[in-house]
Amino acid sequence: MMLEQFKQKYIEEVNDLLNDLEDTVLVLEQNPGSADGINQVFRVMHTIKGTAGMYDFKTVEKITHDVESIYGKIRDSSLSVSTEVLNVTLEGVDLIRNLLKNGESSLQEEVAAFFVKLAAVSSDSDGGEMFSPVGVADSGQAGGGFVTYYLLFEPEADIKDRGINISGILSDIDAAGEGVIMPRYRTGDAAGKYNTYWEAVFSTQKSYQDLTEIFLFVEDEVKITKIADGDLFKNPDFIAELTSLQESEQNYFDIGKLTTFAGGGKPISDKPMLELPAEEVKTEKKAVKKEDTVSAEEKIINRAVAAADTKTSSVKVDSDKLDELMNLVSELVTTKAEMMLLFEKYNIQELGTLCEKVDRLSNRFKDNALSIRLVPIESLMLRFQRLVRDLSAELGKKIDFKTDGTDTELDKTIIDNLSVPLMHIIRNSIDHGIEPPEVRLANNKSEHGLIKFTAFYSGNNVFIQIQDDGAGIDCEALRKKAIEKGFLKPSDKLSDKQLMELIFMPGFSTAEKITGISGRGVGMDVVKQNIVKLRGEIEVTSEKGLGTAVTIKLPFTLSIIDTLLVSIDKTLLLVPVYMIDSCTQITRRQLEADNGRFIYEGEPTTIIDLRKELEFSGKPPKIEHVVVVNYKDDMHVGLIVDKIIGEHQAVLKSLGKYFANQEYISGGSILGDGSIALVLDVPKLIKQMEKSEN
Amino acid sequence: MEDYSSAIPYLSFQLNQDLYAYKISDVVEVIDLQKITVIPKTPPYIMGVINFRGDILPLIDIRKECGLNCDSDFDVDSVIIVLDVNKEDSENRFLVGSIVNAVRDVVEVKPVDIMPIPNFDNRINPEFAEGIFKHNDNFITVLDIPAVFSIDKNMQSKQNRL
Repeated sequence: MMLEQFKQKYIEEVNDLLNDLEDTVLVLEQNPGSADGINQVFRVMHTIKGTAGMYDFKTVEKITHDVESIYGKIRDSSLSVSTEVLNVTLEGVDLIRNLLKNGESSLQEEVAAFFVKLAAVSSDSDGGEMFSPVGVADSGQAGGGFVTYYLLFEPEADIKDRGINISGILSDIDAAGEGVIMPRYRTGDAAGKYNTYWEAVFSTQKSYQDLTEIFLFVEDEVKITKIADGDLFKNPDFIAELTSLQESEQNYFDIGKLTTFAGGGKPISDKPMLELPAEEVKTEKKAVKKEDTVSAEEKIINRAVAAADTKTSSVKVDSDKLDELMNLVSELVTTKAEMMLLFEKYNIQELGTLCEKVDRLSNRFKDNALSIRLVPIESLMLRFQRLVRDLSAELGKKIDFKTDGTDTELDKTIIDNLSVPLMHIIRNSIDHGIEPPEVRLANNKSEHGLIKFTAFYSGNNVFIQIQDDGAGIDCEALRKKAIEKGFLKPSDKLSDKQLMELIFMPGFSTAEKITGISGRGVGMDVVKQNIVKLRGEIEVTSEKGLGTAVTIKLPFTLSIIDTLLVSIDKTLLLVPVYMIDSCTQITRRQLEADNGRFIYEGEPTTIIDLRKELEFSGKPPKIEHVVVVNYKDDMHVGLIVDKIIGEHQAVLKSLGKYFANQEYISGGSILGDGSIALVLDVPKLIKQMEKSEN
Repeated sequence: MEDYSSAIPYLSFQLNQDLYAYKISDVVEVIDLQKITVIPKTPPYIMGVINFRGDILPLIDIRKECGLNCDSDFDVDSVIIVLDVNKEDSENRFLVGSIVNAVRDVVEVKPVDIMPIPNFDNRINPEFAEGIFKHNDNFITVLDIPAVFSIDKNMQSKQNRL
């Protein structure tokens, strides 16, 4: 049981590492020369490999080993980062994930196919080692139609000029059966020969005839020798011999030694046992050599980074416990405020010092507790980048994915529930929004489509916007479709905005053809449901030919925020500090003289008279105060209040369902003396004002 | 099925001169009148919010909500009955304060003794009441808590207001 637990932990860790790795690969795609990126991939593969064996993930071990060696080569500059390399890396990542999830015995075909691709990539520039998948071969009898061959492929120097695809040949050999392919590099001069040659030992069910077909154009450069009937790779002694031969300094395998196993080799279990330490030793030697040249300091840093990489352990905590922690923190903050009040009342010096200490501590405690629950939206981006990359490739579209404000943080539960709906929206943009390159060019658009993901805070909310510069939504088509599907009567007159709302109706889909990706009509309604469940709102705006934007508004779950406490009559109001630009005094007379305008930083600024707006009945005091808030893109609005009381760290409380529709108040907070202050929803207030002015 | 023969405790209280009752199992606590924070631009039956042990509770004047007699005003002797609305339905459950002139006593009543409200009662709309029973020569109206404090209805009246 213990081992099972560790295994689970290992799988979790690997998944974390793979997430980071995907990120790195995407970075490499943008910047193929990044040494950091290459090292990162190398390290992650190495880390995963290190423990895979312990838990008997032989195939995973193999995959990581092989990918690692590719990056080893890249590091040594004997191979360069190409799209193929990155593709195969990502494929490997997926494969490892699936293997860990579904067990090693699954996906044999995929694994086999992967190794073929890997080998092709690996040998692209200078030839490389390739290994056939482990445990894929038929576990039949010694004979079973298998024959074990030795093969020597010594190309002529002009092989590339003849248009021969070496890697193709090598992958064909690999695909033929289980075995080892060993590249050898010529050290001395060999007149007329290519600088690399390959030796292979493999067992196959293919006939000799079939094999020769692989070498149709290089017949003279290939020598095939039969070592034995049957699959010698079932014999551990043979493998051991083969391994030692690979390690030996000789230029060629000693075929004599291998043929001794013919007939004598007794088939044993089919357990995977292909271990090829030679190659690994080589890579590591090189790595060490390279390290010698870097400074000691860098070495330490590198080691520290590597160590940090492997330590991605996390503690899983029941979310109820987190909620409880937040409650306790809230109570502490309120109690602290009570204590401060006491100090102000009696003004005892010692108490003051203590209060300050408690204040500092509780602030840090609060920040810490809050940060535990908050997750940057960044954590979702990787998935989306991957989605855009893979899907656009599949659909033959060229799409850039840009993000902004991904450091915006949201409560973990919200983030967890956002992934699926956002994924769907982005998928829609890729599939229906962005046009194929030809169409884009024909429409005078740049060949590359753009999907922009933006997240930002506004007041008590977090906004997420996904924009594309694709074809947009054709309102007329939408209308037709709605009538066709019976959602609308032909006589119904709807505004464009109302038409857009139809997208969220269950069973409504505008895609003309159903693709595997979207268009089944079970999309946007589910998206909307998900968002509404999070107490959010969703809106689609689109312009035909120019693109579509989906805006999601989510509640701001930061439950403690710094606010400015102000009052009108006896009512206490809170304005979030981060919105405030400045505060100043004003008189009614001055206001009237300026025709209700207010000059802020030389600009006439709109004033909201909260007393009037919130329908307070009493008379305003002689001197009032203006709180200037910056609500968006340096747009300012002045809020008129009676008094400015001071700063207050507000533990936000919901006012409950009774006030769910309240326009100006988004919540309340209990002050140190037990009275309640109301949190002003400034953006909503401004929106209302704009509406009523229009 | 409810057992019609066993008595259920009710908390009776006074609004103006009339007597009403809430089922005791829905009552959380009875608290003294305290500082009420008025919320701007809300319907008149929402008196504001109160601080109930660190939570913010809406305080409702059910006379205005249910169209009852509003002759007298609340004074310092008025109390707040804190109710747990929709107890069984975790999604729609919430606490609410109901302001009343005075709490009377706990009365045990058998469901069988609770009579329906006549259709055209001039004191209360039958939709807000479970029924009426007689106790010590007084009629006491049993209020239907989910109906009185239903949010849907609040939304509705809100819409009407707009």
